Amino acid sequence: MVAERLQHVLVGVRYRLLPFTEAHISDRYIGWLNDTIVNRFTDHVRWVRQTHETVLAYVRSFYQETEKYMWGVSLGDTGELIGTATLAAVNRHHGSGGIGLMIGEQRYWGQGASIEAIELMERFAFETLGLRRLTAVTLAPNHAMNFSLKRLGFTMEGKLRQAFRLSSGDYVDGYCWALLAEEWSARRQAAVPRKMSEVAP
Amino acid sequence: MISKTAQKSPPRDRIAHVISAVFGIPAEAVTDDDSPDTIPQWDSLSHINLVLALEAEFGISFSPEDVMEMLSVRLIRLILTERGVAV
Repeated sequence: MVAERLQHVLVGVRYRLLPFTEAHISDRYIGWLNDTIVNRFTDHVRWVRQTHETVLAYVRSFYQETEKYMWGVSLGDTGELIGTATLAAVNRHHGSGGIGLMIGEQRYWGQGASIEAIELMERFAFETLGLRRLTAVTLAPNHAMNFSLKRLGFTMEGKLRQAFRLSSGDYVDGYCWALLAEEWSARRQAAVPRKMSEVAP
Repeated sequence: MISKTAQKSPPRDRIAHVISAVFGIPAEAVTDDDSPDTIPQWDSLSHINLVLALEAEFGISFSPEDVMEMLSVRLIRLILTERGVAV
């Protein structure tokens, strides 16, 4: 079951999601996690200086018994790693899961990587895993991610008032987002199909 | 600095003028139906630039909820109108 999680390569138009393992941990990746611009809206990593050891424990947590997935977001043509994407909190009883995303390579911000990575995870969650509800939590000032989720049809279901503290000391609201499988299907039928696929294990 | 063109013929629609400047498209071509689906340059990063440009143009500060909802020219106009801004 754990090994099976390493086999899901998600292929998009410009980007692809490759299972992220210990072998992908690099100084560059750790550098993203410690970058105060990249990590300013991440909840956990910015409170602790990230090292090879902390990152190793984090990555290994994706390959233990609890069902969750971690991918490296890479360029489709060169394979360059530019970020990571996660599908965690998978609950088969409820048919739900929560996504996370970090585009660490800042020169790819605004290049459609977030949208495509989320679309790939949507398809994987709803088609491959058969989930019915996909969730995300963002910080209110994370306008770029809020924009992407709203654009992809997620509904902002609620607000976590003053739930998160920024490095500046300011408290900000959290936004709870969700997309249902039927909403995703309806959007797909209405949209022009894009060339996306999952490479068969 | 205001260009000669702008001095001669100021845009009738301030929102269209801002969108034109941010996305590099003619102001005359901007319609209320325009959105990230019709303007490819309108991505997550340029959305932030658009918000900052609108705030500068109209002298207001948008809430995070406003920023989240501004996904078409029509919605931008609606939000500005609700804020009592003449657009």
